[in-house]
Amino acid sequence: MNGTRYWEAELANGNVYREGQYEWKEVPKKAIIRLSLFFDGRRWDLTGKEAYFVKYRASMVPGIQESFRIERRTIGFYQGAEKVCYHVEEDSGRFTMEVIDTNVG
Amino acid sequence: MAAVTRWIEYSTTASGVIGDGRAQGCKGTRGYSIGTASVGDTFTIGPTTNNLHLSMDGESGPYITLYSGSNLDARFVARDITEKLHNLGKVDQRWDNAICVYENIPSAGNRFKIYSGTLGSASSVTVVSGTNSAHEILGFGTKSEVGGSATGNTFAGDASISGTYYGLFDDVYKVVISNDNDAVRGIGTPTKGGSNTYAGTMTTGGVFTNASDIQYVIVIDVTNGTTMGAGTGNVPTMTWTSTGSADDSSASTELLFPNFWYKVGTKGFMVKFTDAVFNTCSPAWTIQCYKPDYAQGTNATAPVGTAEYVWSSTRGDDSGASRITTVSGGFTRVGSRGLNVKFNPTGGADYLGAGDTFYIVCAAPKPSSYNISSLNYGNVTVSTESSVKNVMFEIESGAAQLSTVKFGLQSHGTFAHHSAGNNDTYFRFGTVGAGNTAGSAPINGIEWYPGIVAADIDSDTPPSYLYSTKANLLVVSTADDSQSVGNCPLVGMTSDPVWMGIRLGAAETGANSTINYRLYFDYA
Repeated sequence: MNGTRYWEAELANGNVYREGQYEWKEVPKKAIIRLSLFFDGRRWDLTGKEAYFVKYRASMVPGIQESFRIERRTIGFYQGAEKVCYHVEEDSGRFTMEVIDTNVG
Repeated sequence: MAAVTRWIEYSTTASGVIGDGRAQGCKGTRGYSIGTASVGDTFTIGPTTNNLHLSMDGESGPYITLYSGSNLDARFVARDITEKLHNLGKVDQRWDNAICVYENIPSAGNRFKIYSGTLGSASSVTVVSGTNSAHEILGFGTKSEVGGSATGNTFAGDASISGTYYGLFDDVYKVVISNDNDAVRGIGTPTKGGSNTYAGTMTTGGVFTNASDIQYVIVIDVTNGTTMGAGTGNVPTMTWTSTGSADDSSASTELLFPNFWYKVGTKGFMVKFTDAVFNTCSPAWTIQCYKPDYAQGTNATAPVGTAEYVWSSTRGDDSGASRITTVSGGFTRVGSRGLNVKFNPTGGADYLGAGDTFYIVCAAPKPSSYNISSLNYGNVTVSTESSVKNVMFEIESGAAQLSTVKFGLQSHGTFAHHSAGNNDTYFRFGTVGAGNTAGSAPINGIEWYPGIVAADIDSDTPPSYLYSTKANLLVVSTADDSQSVGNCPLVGMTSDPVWMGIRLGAAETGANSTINYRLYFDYA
């Protein structure tokens, strides 16, 4: 985990799960009341949503695990069959939003 | 979080193998072993837990050594077991067409299930303990082992198969004699429950076969989670009831993965869901399934030549709303990946009966090597094409979903005449796979095509059996500028295979140049 770039999930009971200390799959998803993305002093908060997700874009040279690098960090939430994504590019810090219709792919 | 990945190389001439159940004429059922002990969705396998000892149809094989790693994805482990069984080199359908799957069992939820490659009453699988055994980790500490059964068909004859299997992964086709008079493949249109707010797409699959009609009621519970892909313990669960409790679930199934087939009952009906939010509801869906009534017209039996059939495969290749009429003495198509079937009556009075069932067991092309870190094109002469290489990418752990795979040329090394506007050096690219299939209807489900050569990928217009090609990859540094490659969630988190080659320009000099490709992918 990059020390200044990570997601953080706060649960209804006050417990906080942070990237680097926990894997996303270990987070009790139903209990999340806040999902945040921290990026070099900037912060995006998602609250009051029905379901949340975390996603990454990565790249690597075939077969060279050391070449693995994160290209983009994403937090987001579900809105019915749509996934609303908050992307932050790893190199530039550029922020974009995207809505994906999962019925289309 | 870093996903752990690997690259697999295939020989470009690798080809799948189709099986009739080991001289069983495609009749009967496969024996299997289910690990019924509770398991999750990831598995840590190491040097003291990586041997799986088992026998097929009573023949004890040498144990297989499983891939070692931490928190390996269950689908990855299942395919690893399948490929290790095939790689025993038995040249025997018991082993060469054996298949391990991670699928939901009505009485236990998601479990490993190992099928013999054969059909009929001799078919069986026995998992045993042994040195450094993996059986406990995989849930085979307690197990349910059921032998194959002889056919219950009306038809006394058998079936023959022909063709080349253009599938990338193992699959089993179920061919059923039916004219589908009630519903497509016997599966009615789902009715959504009034309190069901799921906004995604639920897709039905399979061919329903039973002696009577059954109505299934699917129930969803989101006590643990509302969306798939969140890991075991955090996802929605599914149960179902059936008419007269004829085919109920007795345990809930975790809906772990989007676009992944889940069985509903034991009669051939299955469903998959796109990635969307579920809610607790009963009924979530109600589906009426119908037994095959007629072989042709309103006749319960019909001779080869007039009887009709439908099909579905375990990976969802199905006949849709169409059906095919059998041909006396000839082969007719099954599926969209190159298979054909012929029905052989024992005599003039031997008719096919509605519901008669045949299976075609397809083994995938075998990878030639795993965990590759480089490809060697060998000596390439200027103004000629190199040999063509093929690789597939996959995530083995650290994620549950793979998407948006892109493949690009990161560096052309010391090649000086790449895109130089003269007699250039070209970096070739092509792809097809389970994510992005190719072909022309009705053979339009091609996932793998044996024998791809340089001339197949030297144009931006692909041949019919590839999804896309690029005559010359340019050096790029972003995912957006790279080539799209499909992906599939059914047997792991796998990309579609990629074919590559180089054509050296006439003015190119030097030796031992190294080029780099880079693959971009989304994972969650």
